[in-house]
Amino acid sequence: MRLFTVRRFQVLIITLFAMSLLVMDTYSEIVMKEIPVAVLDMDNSTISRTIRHYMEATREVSIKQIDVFSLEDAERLFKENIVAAIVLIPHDLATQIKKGREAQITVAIDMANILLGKNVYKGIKQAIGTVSAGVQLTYIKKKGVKNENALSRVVPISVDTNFTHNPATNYVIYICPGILFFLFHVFFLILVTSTWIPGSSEKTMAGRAGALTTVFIFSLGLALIIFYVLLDHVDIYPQSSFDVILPVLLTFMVMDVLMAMALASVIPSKLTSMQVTIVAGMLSMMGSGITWPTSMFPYWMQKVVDFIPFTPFARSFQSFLHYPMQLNELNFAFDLYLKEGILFTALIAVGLLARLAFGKKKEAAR
Amino acid sequence: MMIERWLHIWNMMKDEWRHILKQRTLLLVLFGLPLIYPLIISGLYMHKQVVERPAIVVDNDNSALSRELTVGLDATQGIAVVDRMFDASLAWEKIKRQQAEVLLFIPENFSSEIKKGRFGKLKLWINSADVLTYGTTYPAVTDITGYLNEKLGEKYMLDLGNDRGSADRRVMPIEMNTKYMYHPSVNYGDFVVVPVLLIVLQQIVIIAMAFSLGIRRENGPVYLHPRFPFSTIEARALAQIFFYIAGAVFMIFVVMPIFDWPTKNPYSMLFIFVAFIFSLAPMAIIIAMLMKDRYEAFQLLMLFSTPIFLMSGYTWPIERMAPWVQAVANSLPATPALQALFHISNKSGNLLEVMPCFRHMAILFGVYLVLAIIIMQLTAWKRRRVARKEQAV
Repeated sequence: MRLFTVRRFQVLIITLFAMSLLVMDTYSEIVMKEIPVAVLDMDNSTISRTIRHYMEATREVSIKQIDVFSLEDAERLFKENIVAAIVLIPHDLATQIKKGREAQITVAIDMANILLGKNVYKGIKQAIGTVSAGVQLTYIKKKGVKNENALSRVVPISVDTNFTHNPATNYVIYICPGILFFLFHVFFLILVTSTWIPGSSEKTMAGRAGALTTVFIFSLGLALIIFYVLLDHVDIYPQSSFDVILPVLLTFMVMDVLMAMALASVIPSKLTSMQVTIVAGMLSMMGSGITWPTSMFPYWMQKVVDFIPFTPFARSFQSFLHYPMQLNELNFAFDLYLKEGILFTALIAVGLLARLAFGKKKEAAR
Repeated sequence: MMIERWLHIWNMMKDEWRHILKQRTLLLVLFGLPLIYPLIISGLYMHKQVVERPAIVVDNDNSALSRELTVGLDATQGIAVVDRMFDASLAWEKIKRQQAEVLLFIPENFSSEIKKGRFGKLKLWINSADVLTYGTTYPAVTDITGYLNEKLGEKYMLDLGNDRGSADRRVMPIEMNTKYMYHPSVNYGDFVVVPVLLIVLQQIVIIAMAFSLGIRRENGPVYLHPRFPFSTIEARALAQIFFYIAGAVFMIFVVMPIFDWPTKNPYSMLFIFVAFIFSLAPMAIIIAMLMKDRYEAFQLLMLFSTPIFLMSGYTWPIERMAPWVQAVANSLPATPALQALFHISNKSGNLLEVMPCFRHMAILFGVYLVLAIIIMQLTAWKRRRVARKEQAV
């Protein structure tokens, strides 16, 4: 196995790093901020101006000075992606509030891109909610409630929220470890299968075992580079100690090797087994629950993805990267690895037995 | 000369079809991938929305209000209360072990504090490592606490002497009337599956082309016509295009209706898929020419698909990426194709509205075509030179 001299492997290694950097820089802005919003303020009262200021003050919203005169204008702004939301403040907002009547602000949000839509909704809702609570506060103060008691009468339930694992709800923290290790996973499976496909495999069994060991050690080093160098580039520092990370990583890689060997032993064609292994690796990102919770999959798919080694690995790094974990707290991952190990070993045994049986038949036929 | 060239293309197309029928692995790429991938991906997202995320409530108050809060939380679409416990540290252990994503702690004096006119303080822990599930659970919690705040506020207004109607209007007096445009159901599945299918098609086009040439290269140098070297490869791409289009038709007219993925206008969508296939073909030819064998093609190209999807601007706006990523993204046909698809599947079925995307695809087609022709001519020229040298020797 000539990882650094064969062009194919050189290109693969370069591609892995290039794609990793590309993914990290795709999310260089980290959070969705300053999403353009048009505000049509027909009231221009103190309250409406306060709402505008509060909106502008949120992380998500950036108010654009755009005139919207008709529905067609609004539609054009959405279709050309000029704004993600249009806020219509009616001319009688302040008057209605003063008279104790219901005041309504209409907000149209472009939900074509869910990510943008949800974020801009959050910002606008927060601003309007704050001003609304302020109006209520002013009213009860006028009714004679003391300053120090007023707020607890308006918002009696206060929620102290802790966003665990990702306090800034940062997209890089969410997506980067997942994608980087997904790329590593595919890369590792490619290298592992390369040790036995024609063209790149060694001639002898000992040679193949040596190649596999080289691939394993080299890939382990790469995975550690991802953990401690590449993720550091996007300000993610593993919160758990090395003696927690290493066993999880090693088990994941051993399971990957076993999976590839199991598929190679039950699928007669080496190329087809490589294709199936890599296709399983390709589906591992979606199947791991990073982009879509596994509990939302059809039941049989939940069971299938449990047998792709990336699934328990992804679940465990979502914990140990962001929170100091102990090894015994990652039992949920090791339980799955155990099941995978049993299945893969059984498949390898079946494959070997089948080969022995067919080999003897062939010999007898000869 | 033109007739000779077209005859050569026709012969090469027939040769490619024979080659496809003979090669099982190539057949698997051309028929297996378009059949299996869209069905698996659609199956994964068939529930479309993230709902009922597991939550634990530690209720040390056990008052009418705390029970109302728990029941209300469980009744939201986003949260399912899977456990009610009395020990916060045990509940936290469950969060760590991923048995729940939300932990709501209700202190023992919660209700009495509110009755005394003080704050009832809740503590909330949300696992936000997964932004998608956090985006479901957090609004569910704020909705239910917001509702209870309004209810308590209304009660207080009544105590202040307001009538019921007036009390209702005095609590959170500004109402937000929200209209979700284009995608009112806010289904994540609807949003993400359609573009992923286009990326699957891209993989099929590039891998099939590289596979076809890779298999030939394993048996010696790929044949190139001495006078029309590009046409030799062009013909192979043309022969494969029928299979790609069949794959696109299967995705749009079979998979999408079965799983109810949004297709405002399936014919417009098909047009985008076909335009994408053509704009991608020269790039696929270039990649195929660079691959040594089928293994290399399959192995290398697998690392590209996810980053290409992420940088296309479909999920994360392209103008928010690093400049060099924007430059790379704009040099790939998938970016304008996905932007057109985004518009067509979400906003309008009118193809005229995505003309800039087609222009972008056309420019990329032209650039990659010229590059492919240059590469092919260079290869042919090198071969002629080697042949002349050999003859001289």
